[in-house]
Amino acid sequence: MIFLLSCAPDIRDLDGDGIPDVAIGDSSSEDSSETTDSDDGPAIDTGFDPHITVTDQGEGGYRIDIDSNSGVTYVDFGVPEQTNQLAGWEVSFERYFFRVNGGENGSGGVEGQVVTSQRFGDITSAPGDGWTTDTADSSVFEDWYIYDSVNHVLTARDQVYLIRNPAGEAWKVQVLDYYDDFGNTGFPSLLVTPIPKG
Amino acid sequence: MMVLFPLSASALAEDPPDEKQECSEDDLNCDVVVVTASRTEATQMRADATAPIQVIDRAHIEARGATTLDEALRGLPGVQVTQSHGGAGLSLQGLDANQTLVLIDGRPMAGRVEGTVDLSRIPVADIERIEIMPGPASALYGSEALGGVINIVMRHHRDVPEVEAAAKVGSRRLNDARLSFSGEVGPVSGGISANRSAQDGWDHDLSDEATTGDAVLAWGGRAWTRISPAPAVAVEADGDYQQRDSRGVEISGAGAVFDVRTLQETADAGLGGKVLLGGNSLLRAQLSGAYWRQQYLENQRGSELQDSYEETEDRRIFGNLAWQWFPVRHWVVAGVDFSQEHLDSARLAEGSADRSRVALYAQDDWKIVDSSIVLAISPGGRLDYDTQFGLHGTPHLALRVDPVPSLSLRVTGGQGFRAPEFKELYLAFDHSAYGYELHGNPQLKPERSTGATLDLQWTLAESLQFRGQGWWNEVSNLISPTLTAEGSSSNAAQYQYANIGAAVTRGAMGGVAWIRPGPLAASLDYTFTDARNREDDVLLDGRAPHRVAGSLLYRPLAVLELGGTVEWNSKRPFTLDGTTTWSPGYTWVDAQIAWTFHTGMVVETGAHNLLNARDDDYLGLAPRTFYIGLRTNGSLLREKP
Repeated sequence: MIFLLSCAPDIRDLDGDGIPDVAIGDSSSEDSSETTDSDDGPAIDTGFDPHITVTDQGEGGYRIDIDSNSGVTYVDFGVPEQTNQLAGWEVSFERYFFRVNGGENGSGGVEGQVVTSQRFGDITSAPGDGWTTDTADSSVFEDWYIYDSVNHVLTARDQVYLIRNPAGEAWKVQVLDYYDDFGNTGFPSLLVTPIPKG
Repeated sequence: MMVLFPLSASALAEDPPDEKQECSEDDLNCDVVVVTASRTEATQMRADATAPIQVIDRAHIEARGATTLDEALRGLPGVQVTQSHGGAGLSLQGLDANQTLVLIDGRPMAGRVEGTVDLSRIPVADIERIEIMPGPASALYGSEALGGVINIVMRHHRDVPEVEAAAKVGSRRLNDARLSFSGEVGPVSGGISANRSAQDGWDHDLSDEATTGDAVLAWGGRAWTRISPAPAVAVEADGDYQQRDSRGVEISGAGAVFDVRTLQETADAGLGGKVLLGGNSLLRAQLSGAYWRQQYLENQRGSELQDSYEETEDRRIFGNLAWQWFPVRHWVVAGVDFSQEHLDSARLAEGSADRSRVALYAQDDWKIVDSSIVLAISPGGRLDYDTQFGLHGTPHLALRVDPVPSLSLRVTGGQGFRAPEFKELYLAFDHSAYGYELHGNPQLKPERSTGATLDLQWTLAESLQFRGQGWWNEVSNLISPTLTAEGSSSNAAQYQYANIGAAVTRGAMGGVAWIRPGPLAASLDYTFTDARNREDDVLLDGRAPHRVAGSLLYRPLAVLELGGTVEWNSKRPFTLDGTTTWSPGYTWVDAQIAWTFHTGMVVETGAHNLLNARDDDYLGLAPRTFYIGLRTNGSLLREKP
């Protein structure tokens, strides 16, 4: 008999009308990687509506705030407003996984390298050597964050990434943040500025 | 010397003699009745127990102004109230709170969170006394009794009509009330009680939106009855429902703000019977069920992305059949326990899990010599069969020697075990957003301990008592998360529970007490605890190496009582990723004044945490709380002296 004695209301029902008011967010990631056609060309259907904000920083540079909380967002650094295009993307973002379109993670031939000896503003061109791409054992962005295991917080390392594609375009990239204004995880913000290929 | 209440038919129909003697928890000579050490119906006085046992009686609980069980237990020698995600727990002999077995009337409780029964969810309104038996005691009680056993004995039988009431108000809008009725009509006695308590939360850091302590609203009720259709037969039944609703605000390291609510419900019901057989023996059977449900809601402010709701339900059935035999100088018990548990939780890989356990146990409490010199021995053992890990045996031996009437020496040795919890077995916790996943391990074996306790009491001039205790426990098969696969750019790190650890806890306690009769009772005890991991010699988290507990109860007039408790804890170690930090020490002080009217009413006022000790990181100590209340001193219907 006591197994029927649960008599408390559902605490998701905040106004007492018998209907749960708190919508529980689905944080599961569905990466179906299906392609669909759009006006801009074949697109990647990642199972969610990607949302980005691009803010002009002058001199061709911009800040990009990316929603990668519940899916993968593919970013073309040359046309950042146009996300999830099958062709032309340089880096994909899936929460804290940042992958370049090359090697193990893509066929786009994108390469990158980490620069720790120079500040973002001091880098004026891309070097001719030192480029790598993602492999099964390592990736260009593998150590972009510092993990605070007490507070479970990711903090971006103060270092610059250089990205280039086979078309001869190159960018310097710095990760600024990983959280939105409400403290939600999976919202990386990046500073991106094109640089001449060395 | 030995006190054994005659085992007669009337003994079945009544509880042990109502001990009106008021005892402080520090008064080890205070002869309240205990049952935990023997697990029999024999009404054994505490001073005659072969194993050391500590008792907190009703008078002590009321003298401390406690509302919940954790408040009543704070400041006791040898007992450390801990705080974890699972709530308030009790650490005995330096072992974890999840290695202490908590029973209500000898029955296991449902609803452990992170392995801990939250003592703050247990109101003290209807508690008769609390018995604490330190040291491994799995030989009588089975799993979780590594550090010891806490048995909460509820109030049952009343032979006269009683109406009891109490009300209290205090800081942070504290309001607490309880009411009970009980009585006896012919062969039937019974009672009902109700309790309600509410208090605001608190916030030590006003710089953000998070609160430090939750606001709590708790209420519940209980009913019990006993029927004695024949002098040699008694049937008992009881039921209890409690609800505890706590609310607070939390903020994540990344700045996400959550309104957090936890609603817990517990329901317990029991049915038991006992019949007196010929030849000084008795047969007892009991069947009980316990249900626990927790709803946990995190409602994120400004966003829905991290809203979460988790419902957990735990159901336990417990049965016991025991034969007890009381020839001269022997208290023998042999019995069988059966338990079945079912847990529903979204965090389990399959969503739910079941386990059953059956156990045989036996113990003989034998007074070999019982005169001015006492020699007693109490061998016991238990064999558990668990559907998860199979057979597990635990022996126990207690020895008591009183070479002179004023000196008692007790030695106990035994083994304990803690069965892996469902979450340790079957957890599937995907925290890959933060770079890791934690999984249960169905192959886990129980944690095991082997330990010994030496207890000494020396009483001088009937009022001054010196006492000491030392213990040593070796614990193996400790269950901890262990890294099974490093994280990478595309995969989260994988952790799984495993039996990887070993630890030692050892310590000593020494103190002095001034015991009643007289207007004064006082005590002061020092405890040293050394608890460390055997693998790397790292100190175990949260154990204060040095601890002092003192109490004072002064009654200058028959109607006036002044009481106080002091607990000082040295700094406590916490180790993460190989780095040990020390939480500051703190001093906890409670004080109370109680004045009894000639009509039998008591007005009381006091304070908890008088020095406003704080430890927001690890203990969440409630700030200084003042209160004033009114309660009956016994029954409103009784004729007052």
